[in-house]
Amino acid sequence: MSLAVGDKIIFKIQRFSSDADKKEHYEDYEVEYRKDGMMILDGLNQIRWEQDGTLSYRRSCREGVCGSDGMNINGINMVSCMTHISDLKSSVITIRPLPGFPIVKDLVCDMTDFFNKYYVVKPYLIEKTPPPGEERLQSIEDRNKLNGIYECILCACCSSSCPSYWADPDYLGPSALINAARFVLDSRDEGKDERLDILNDKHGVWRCHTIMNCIPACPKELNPTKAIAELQQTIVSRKY
Amino acid sequence: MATAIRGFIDRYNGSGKTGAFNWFFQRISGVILLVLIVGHFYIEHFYAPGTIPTYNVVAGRLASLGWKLFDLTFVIFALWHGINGIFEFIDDYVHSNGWRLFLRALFWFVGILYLVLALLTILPFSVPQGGING
Ligand code: SF4
Ligand code: SF4
Ligand code: FES
Repeated sequence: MSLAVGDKIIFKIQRFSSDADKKEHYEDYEVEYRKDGMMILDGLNQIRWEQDGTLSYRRSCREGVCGSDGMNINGINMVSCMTHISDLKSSVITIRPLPGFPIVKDLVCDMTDFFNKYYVVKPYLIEKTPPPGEERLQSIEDRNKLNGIYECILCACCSSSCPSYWADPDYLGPSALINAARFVLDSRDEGKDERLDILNDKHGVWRCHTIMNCIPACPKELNPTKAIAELQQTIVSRKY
Repeated sequence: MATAIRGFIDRYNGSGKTGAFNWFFQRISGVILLVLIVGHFYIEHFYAPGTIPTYNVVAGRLASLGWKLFDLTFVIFALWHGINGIFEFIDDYVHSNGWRLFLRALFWFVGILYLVLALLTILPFSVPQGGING
């Protein structure tokens, strides 16, 4: 199905308010395709600004940087501002909040647990020795090792697609783990041991069953499974 | 806030059992089982074409120490792999300590039971080939 400017598409959106509703329900909205390259977020804005001001969703940067608008679109987790309506190739687009998180309202989830798990892995450079000069330099090769992991925008699309994350409420999840890898694999970091001690846990790296749902879920095309495998390797080689 | 996160971190520290060995050996035992299964399949079907694996043939084989060891290795790895897999499921899906304890105990029991049954089945064979009318 190809879209032409002026066409109408249906957005089928799951609605729920944690203070007013007992159960979620779907509401259909008609969205006009106004220009080529229109994103799902543009459609949501059209609904909120022109049809129904009660529709709630998070967004901020509208360009794939802030990570606030992860949602489940036609069954796949993605950020709405990076998803072209035309790429979905369907006249009815079903939108739900990210699976596995408690819903606050409509597409807005409670991310407290997700961010607590992020803080658990100590996602910051740990220094034990004073910097050698004015700054801690890094070689180009060492810097390149961080490509494919540092770009994470914490949108939670990966963790929300992970069956281990749904099943085990204590599992740190792919997002926290790829962010742990970002520092463990950083040549300037001096906190590897304390970080790896936390990750070397039943609910840490060893809860990943290599199901690999997290890879297609990531809007930044990162590979959390590979990052987790590298952490596992680092833990094993540290010990033996 | 700080204390809340502190408590959260503690959940990941000091449990003593990291699960690393179980994760790792699950993969290793999987690979070993694959080799054993392919070997077993080859021997049953292609090694000596024409022999039909009747009771006699199998009893004759199992009388030898080598075959006893082969089959016991098979049983031990299969049991460990299967039951450790169930333990992984329990860790995934069962979150109450009581149920966890009960299910773990149950599957320890099942594992030991099957091991004993396997020993009782495999070890007593001492009949030379063709010695039984099957
Ligand atoms: S590969 Fe690991 S982290 Fe990714 S979805 Fe599977 S279990 Fe989850
Ligand atoms: S790894 Fe990808 S999917 Fe996961 S939180 Fe980061 S950007 Fe989002
Ligand atoms: S609005 Fe910021 S990532 Fe989509």
